Amino acid sequence: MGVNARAYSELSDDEVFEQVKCGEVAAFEEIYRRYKQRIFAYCWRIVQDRWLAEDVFQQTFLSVFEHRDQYTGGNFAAWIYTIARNWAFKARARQQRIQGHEVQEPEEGIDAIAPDTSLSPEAAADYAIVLEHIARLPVEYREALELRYLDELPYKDIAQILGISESLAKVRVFRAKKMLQKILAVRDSE
Amino acid sequence: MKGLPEDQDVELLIARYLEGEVGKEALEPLLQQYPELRAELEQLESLEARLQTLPKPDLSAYEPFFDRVEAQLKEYLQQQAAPSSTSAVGSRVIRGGSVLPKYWIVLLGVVAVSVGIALFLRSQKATSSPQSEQMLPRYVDSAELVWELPAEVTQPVQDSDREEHNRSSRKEQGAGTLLTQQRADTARLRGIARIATPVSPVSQQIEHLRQQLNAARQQGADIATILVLERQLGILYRQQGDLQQSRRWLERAVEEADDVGLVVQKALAQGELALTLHAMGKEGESIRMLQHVTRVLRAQRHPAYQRWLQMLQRITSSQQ
Repeated sequence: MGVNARAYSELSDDEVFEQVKCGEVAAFEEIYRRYKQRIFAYCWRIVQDRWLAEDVFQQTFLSVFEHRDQYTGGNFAAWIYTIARNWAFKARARQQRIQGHEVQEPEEGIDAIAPDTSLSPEAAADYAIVLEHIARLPVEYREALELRYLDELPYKDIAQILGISESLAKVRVFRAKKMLQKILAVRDSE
Repeated sequence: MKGLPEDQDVELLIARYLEGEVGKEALEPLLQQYPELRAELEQLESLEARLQTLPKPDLSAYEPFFDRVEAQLKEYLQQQAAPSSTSAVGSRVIRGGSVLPKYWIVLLGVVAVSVGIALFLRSQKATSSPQSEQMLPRYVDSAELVWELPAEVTQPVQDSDREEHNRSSRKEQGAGTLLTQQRADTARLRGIARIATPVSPVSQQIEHLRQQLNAARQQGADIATILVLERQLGILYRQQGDLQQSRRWLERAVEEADDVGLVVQKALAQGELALTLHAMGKEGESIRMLQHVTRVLRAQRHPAYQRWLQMLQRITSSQQ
């Protein structure tokens, strides 16, 4: 305890989270600052609904908080993403039950709600096309690809989040890229 | 990739090359065997560059939301960190109980706790308000949060497990809602984005309806009555402009109707939910749900079918 806020920014996730366990509010602020945008975007990508994403986001941080003593170190990013993923899938399953139909097409992708205004029109259009095609990939490949390129997570983390081996995570990302390449090639040739 | 065998080892090798983990020499045997692989690799490398430079979404508009969540979580953390005075009192009582044998104390304690829990659950069931319960989505099971949550929530869900999640979630919801202190804390914490609304006739109606709902629950009214009241609450919240509250009440009605297999009640709640979603700007979702509602009501030959069909047509035509 007693680490000041500036020093937290120089510590690893595990080191900061140890302070969260001791009840250090400043440490929590640091963890929250590091992950809030990534986790929110991740939740949104899974549930495809802004309101639901807000619920899942809050629930994720609450769970992290509630179960902070159960984190024994090693890979904080994978841990928090796993929690977010589990809540998001639960939320989505519940939503499908409420809506009365199983297949839910993406209605409001995060790019549609929060486009990056700093992009040139061409870059923004390219970005939208790539994201649109990624969203159409089979879920197991899409998830792996998004975790790799949108969340910029290492394969070790992706494997842990998806509950698969690191090699399989690499293969899934590779297959996703092959599928995406084919789709984009067809589109470019049209 | 054309001509290449669907071999995971081969794919892994190419993947590792694209990630820069191995040099091109590792691929030479493959390239000799499959010359067309060279062109494919170039395309994949080009895609790799495109993916690496994907910009991040701009979430700066959500900073107020992030701030509100942070403030609530911090408050919660501080409360959790504060020493509990009640537990200290409790331990003093137990240590001081030398007049009665220890097992009597334990027995009395068990009885008192059981009665307390029963009364608490009853009162919570009767008085559970949107503030406490609907702020917490129904998929959040308080029991998991208190006891064995990590195995389910902190471990990855396999694809094959998702259906099991659905089933277990359904079962839990069917078994009723257990509102523990944990859940109450959770619910309070989740009252994050709420904005106080001025008192208006609609607010008064809402308050009145909530009292009716509480009374109905306390008196053990039938589920159909409860569902009608919940649906009315959802409609009133929509009229008031509190769409999130409206959505929560209607979703609750849908789920409760689903739990007990009341098909028509479920469809009627879904119809209202569709209107709320439409008001939220989720036109596609709203239309899909209304289509589902009209299908169900037509199959049931329900008199409300025509009304909902007209609603669907109105919304669909307003889209065009």
